[in-house]
Amino acid sequence: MQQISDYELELMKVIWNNDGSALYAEIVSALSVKGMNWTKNTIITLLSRLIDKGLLKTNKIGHRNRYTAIISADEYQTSQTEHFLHKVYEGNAKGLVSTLIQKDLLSAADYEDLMEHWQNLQRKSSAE
Amino acid sequence: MSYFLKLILSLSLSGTLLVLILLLSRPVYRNRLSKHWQYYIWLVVIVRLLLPITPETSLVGSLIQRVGQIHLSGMTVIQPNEHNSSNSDTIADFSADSAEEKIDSGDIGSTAEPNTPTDNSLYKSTDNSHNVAAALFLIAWLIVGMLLFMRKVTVYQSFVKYVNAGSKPIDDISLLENFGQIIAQNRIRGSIDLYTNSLISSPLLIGFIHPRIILPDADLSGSDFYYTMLHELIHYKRRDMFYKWLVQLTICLHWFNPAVYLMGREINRLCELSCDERVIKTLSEEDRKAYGDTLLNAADTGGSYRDALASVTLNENKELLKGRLEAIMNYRKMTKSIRTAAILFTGILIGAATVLGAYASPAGRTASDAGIYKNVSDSDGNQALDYSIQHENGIYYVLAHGATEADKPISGVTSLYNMLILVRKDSYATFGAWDDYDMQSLVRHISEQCRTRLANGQLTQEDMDIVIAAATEIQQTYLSGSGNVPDRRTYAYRQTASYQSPYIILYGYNLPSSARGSYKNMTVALADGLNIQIYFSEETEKFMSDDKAMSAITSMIRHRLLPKSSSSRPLEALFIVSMEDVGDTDLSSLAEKYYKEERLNYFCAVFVELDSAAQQKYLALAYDDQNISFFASCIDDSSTDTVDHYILKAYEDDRVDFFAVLSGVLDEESRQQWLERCDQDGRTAYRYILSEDDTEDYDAEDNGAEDDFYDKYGTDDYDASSTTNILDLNRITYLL
Repeated sequence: MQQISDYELELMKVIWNNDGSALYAEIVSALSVKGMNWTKNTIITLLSRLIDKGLLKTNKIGHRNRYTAIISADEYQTSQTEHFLHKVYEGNAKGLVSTLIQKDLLSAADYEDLMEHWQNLQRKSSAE
Repeated sequence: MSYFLKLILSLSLSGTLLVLILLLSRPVYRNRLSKHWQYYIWLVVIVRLLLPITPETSLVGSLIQRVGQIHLSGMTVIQPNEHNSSNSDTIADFSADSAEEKIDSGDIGSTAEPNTPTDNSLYKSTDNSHNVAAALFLIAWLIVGMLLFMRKVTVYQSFVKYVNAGSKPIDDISLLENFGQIIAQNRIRGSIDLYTNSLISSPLLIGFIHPRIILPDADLSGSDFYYTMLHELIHYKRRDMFYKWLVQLTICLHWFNPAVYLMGREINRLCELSCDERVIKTLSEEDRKAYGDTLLNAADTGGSYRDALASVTLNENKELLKGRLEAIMNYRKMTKSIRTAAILFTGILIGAATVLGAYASPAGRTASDAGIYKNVSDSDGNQALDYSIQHENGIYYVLAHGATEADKPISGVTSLYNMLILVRKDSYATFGAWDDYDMQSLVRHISEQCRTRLANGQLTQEDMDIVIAAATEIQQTYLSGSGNVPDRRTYAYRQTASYQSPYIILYGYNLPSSARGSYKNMTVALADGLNIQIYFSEETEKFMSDDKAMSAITSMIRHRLLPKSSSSRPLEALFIVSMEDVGDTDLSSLAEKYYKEERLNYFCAVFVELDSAAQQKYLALAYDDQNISFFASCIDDSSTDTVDHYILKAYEDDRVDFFAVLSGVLDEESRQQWLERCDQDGRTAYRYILSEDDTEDYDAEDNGAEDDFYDKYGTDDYDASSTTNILDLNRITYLL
């Protein structure tokens, strides 16, 4: 998956928030709610770039254009995480988690939750 | 095929002239008219170069036509008198060795007649080789043109690929927004992407479907960015890319013409200048300065790739840049007078483009209105041969290729023999005589003649097919007994002109019934209950309602025509071909006028009314001018002394043509005398001419010189008011 710019990501978020598909008008209003009152050319340019990169597809309904996300938010997160993991931690997930803990990026409560989740997973797999 | 070639050449020629006009008058308009106008005026030239639209007659069109004709006529071998050579066919025995025939006819036919108008437009026999050459040129032109264009396309595509490969999209939202705002402000439709690419030398606009602007360096000052964007966006808005490609297409189609390359360069230059002008229009003076600064700054940036075609760039080269800076400084708004001047100049140029025109297809002529066509398919049944046959006075006229009544030659050569005359629109060919006994071998003999001529390039394959098909028809009709038994006294269609004050009327009588249907007519009642049908051509229709004209016609009928007709040859349909009101003009000036204008028919009409001194004067003039057609018409009327005088002159001056004409007017005794003399002098050619008349075997029943005259000349206008003679002069004057 290609890397997208910050503002392209904003657009994707808008679309993801709209159940993965939105009309142009909807995108414009959602953006302005966020305080991003971009010009038409900017929006269309960014959308075209996303289409070229394979994250969006478009089809015309009458006069209007509808933009649909091909990659879901989850897929994007996952691939970006992998990318980050490989790039920064060279695939070492443990390193990442330790950083999270040591740097207090992970709260105690979250940590408890994760531990429980992890043990559940382990029990499940050994039961099989 | 050669039509297309001529068309392309004519388009190129017209275009070149327009290019020259525009380029040469540049000093006049370059600082006075707007660059915008200067940029778009070239569209007139492009349209002229690309569209084959022209008024029927145009300067370049007729020039190309004439060049084509001169070229053609330069190629034909036996020129002016095809008729001469075929005359000798008439007397030669069919079974004679064709080689011998050839030599003899060559002998007679070789004396060139400088004054005879040459039917140089169409010796179709040369068309074939011409068509092949033309087709080759056409193919070569097309291939080169296509290759050039394809090359341009490929170069463009690879440039785009190269640029795209090194381009990065601009993610800086502030720049994007800035850009977007400029777009919105200028009301530009469509969306444009923005990239940066360090390999290019100047900002460019690229792409037809997904247009984008690519900057060499995104780090531009606010004003530089603004003006750069504005400039490129104007290019986009005006669709300059399309215009440029149109120019390239034109250049490829006219690749052989250096003028179009000049045009291309000029248009490119003007593209940038007019774009600048458009940008500047809305700017204040200091802003203009800033714009100039932008251009200069852009010139500074480096880059490795330049392609003038692929992009619409901000700078092309230093010269252009200098020019543009100057133009920015000198810009001033367009005034009303300039606007009108621009419109005027445009109008002039469009007018010039129309007048210059292009080559128009000669096939524009309409088919005969007489409607005497029939289509006969040849033995293969595929192509229909377009001809019709008219049989008069022992002569079978085969009208082909759109020839009409008016194109028929008047031939009054033989009485006993039949002849086949292939009549085309502007020329004709005679095919050898035969008598009724030869009818069953007609096709064979005609075919032989055709083959010889085909081999000599005197006849086209198509015409040969027509002639043979016609001959076959004639033979079959005759042999099956259902055709007209050749009656030499059938009422031939003849054309003459008469002077009936104040008109000169060119008329024909005994219009064949097949032709009558298509002309307007009226019935005129004459004295003693006689009614006569008068037919009018398109040209003379208008006289039908003109009382003065009608009365002239009726008196002509009463005084000239009726006395001539007899119960054995009633006057049938009269056909008024043309009529001219000459008013009070006196006859001698009319005669002079028609002589000068070479209008034989009209001249003859007037000639007969002149006194004998004047007639003698014209005889001498015609002889000296070597104007055989006129001479032949005048001589009919002359005294024996005159004839003797001239025939001797012709003999001594070695003017075979005149001799031939004169020999036709000799009485039997003189003829014999001349025969002897020719034998003595050993001048076989002349002897041959004289002996032609030997074959006219008059029936025992024939009596009266009038009948002899009729047999000889196909008319019984014994006082020879206006008949034309052997050499088919009517047609020649028609052509003139």
